[in-house]
Amino acid sequence: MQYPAQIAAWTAGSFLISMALLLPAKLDAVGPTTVPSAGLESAKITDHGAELSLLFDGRSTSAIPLMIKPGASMPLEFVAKNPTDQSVDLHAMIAIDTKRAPSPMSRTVSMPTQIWQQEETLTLLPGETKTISLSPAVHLTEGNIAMIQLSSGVHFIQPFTMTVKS
Amino acid sequence: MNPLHQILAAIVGVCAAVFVLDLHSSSAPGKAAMLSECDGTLRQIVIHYVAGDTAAMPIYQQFLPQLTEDVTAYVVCADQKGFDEFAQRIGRLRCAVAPIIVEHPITAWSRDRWIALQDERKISLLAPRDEDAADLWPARSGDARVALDIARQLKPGVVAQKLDLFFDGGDSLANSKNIFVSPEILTKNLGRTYETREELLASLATKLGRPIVLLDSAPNHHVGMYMMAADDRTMLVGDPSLAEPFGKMFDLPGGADFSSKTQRLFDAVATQVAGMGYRVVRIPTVVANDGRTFLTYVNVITDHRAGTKIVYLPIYRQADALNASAAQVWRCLGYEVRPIDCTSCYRYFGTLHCLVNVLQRN
Repeated sequence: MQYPAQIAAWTAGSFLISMALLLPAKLDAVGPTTVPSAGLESAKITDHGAELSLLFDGRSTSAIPLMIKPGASMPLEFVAKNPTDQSVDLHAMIAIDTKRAPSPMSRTVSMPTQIWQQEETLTLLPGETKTISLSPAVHLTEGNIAMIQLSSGVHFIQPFTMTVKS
Repeated sequence: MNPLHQILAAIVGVCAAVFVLDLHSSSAPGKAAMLSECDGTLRQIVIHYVAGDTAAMPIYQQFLPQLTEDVTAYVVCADQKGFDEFAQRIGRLRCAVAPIIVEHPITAWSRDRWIALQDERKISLLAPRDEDAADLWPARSGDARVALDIARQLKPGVVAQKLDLFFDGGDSLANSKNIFVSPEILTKNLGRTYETREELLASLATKLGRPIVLLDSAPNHHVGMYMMAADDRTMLVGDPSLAEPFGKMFDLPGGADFSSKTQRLFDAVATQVAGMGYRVVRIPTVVANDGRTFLTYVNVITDHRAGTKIVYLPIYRQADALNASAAQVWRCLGYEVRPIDCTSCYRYFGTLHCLVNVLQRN
């Protein structure tokens, strides 16, 4: 071999460059206390090109369960936006399910029960946005968990979970 | 320097890098996969003990004495006093017993707290981002910390990670080919942690290490309450109609539910799994009208040892004929049946499999 140092340098250099290019960002994906990401910033359903969302307290989702006091009202806004250049007919449903924490011995909470639902059938013109204020007539009791759901066609989201606690 | 030598040297360098990365990736945690329910020999299990318990302890008193010297049972307790009480009540065992003292309240249900992934290097526990009702229920809030407590005590062989997903360990069930996931996982996460079903399922597959089968329609309970893998080609699925001739005698909340609506949910699971090429075997199951209380015979722990397939099978008092019918199903699949009377706990919505989580199989 005439140029052992140069050949070693070329081998080492190409090795390092290849490693740098091919090495995954994280080899060890599991840490002892990895904190989960915050969740979605916003939530919406896209159905026939229209975007449907539900607002509570100015936001469209929360990965963290929200706290709500017993008997408090739960004002919601249903927002339907059509960014397309065609009219869209929609049939959406907004629902609230609740479940309760049963005996402390129990493996899981009780079966959810639907306590309120409202259907909205609407036509959105091209570029149109409609906002509908909803005042669910529900009385949330201490110790319940409420789940707010929005569906349209085959699409479904549950953007909020609320813990009823004084 | 000869350009040919330069090129050859560069190729050698690239090949070396690829070789090193391939070696690493073959043993990286990314290759870990969720423990199969129906393969291997039990090595390490985790149970929870709550001081004064009368629901889970009778199950432990039947199950633990049957485990052999090569099994370690970790017992999660809120405090040392609780573990001392457990040790006194359980008596002498052949298996090793080790406490995990966590210094916070817990429930008795170990299964839902984490999912174990195993590779040749270590065990990874994946915990949900939070527990249902944690804001209302101090023991549930404590449950949310158990995976990290276990990893802290058993490091470096065990690590734990909180995922960005809402789930219970019981929402999924694995054999060595697939992971079957309850539809409830969609309800818990869509619009909160993931925007679309496809994103959610892709994330689950990556995290759990096997292809995900989302059950389209299923009873509203944990997967292990209505189905269980007997081997990689055979799936047991509950069937209320098989229990109906036996089931009218039971004093269940709201009575037994033999409605066609409920039957369809079980049948939907059987049909979907059969459509994937599995041999589906139906087994009697009684569901109460509260939708949560099950007399189930799939909520089992299996153990393969020295060529013998063992199933620890929940049974229930005053249900002898039903118990016998279910046991026969397992025997026909080649299992030695070891009954565990779960009468003390089924009214709390779970039985043996829900109380015993498996940390390691070989």
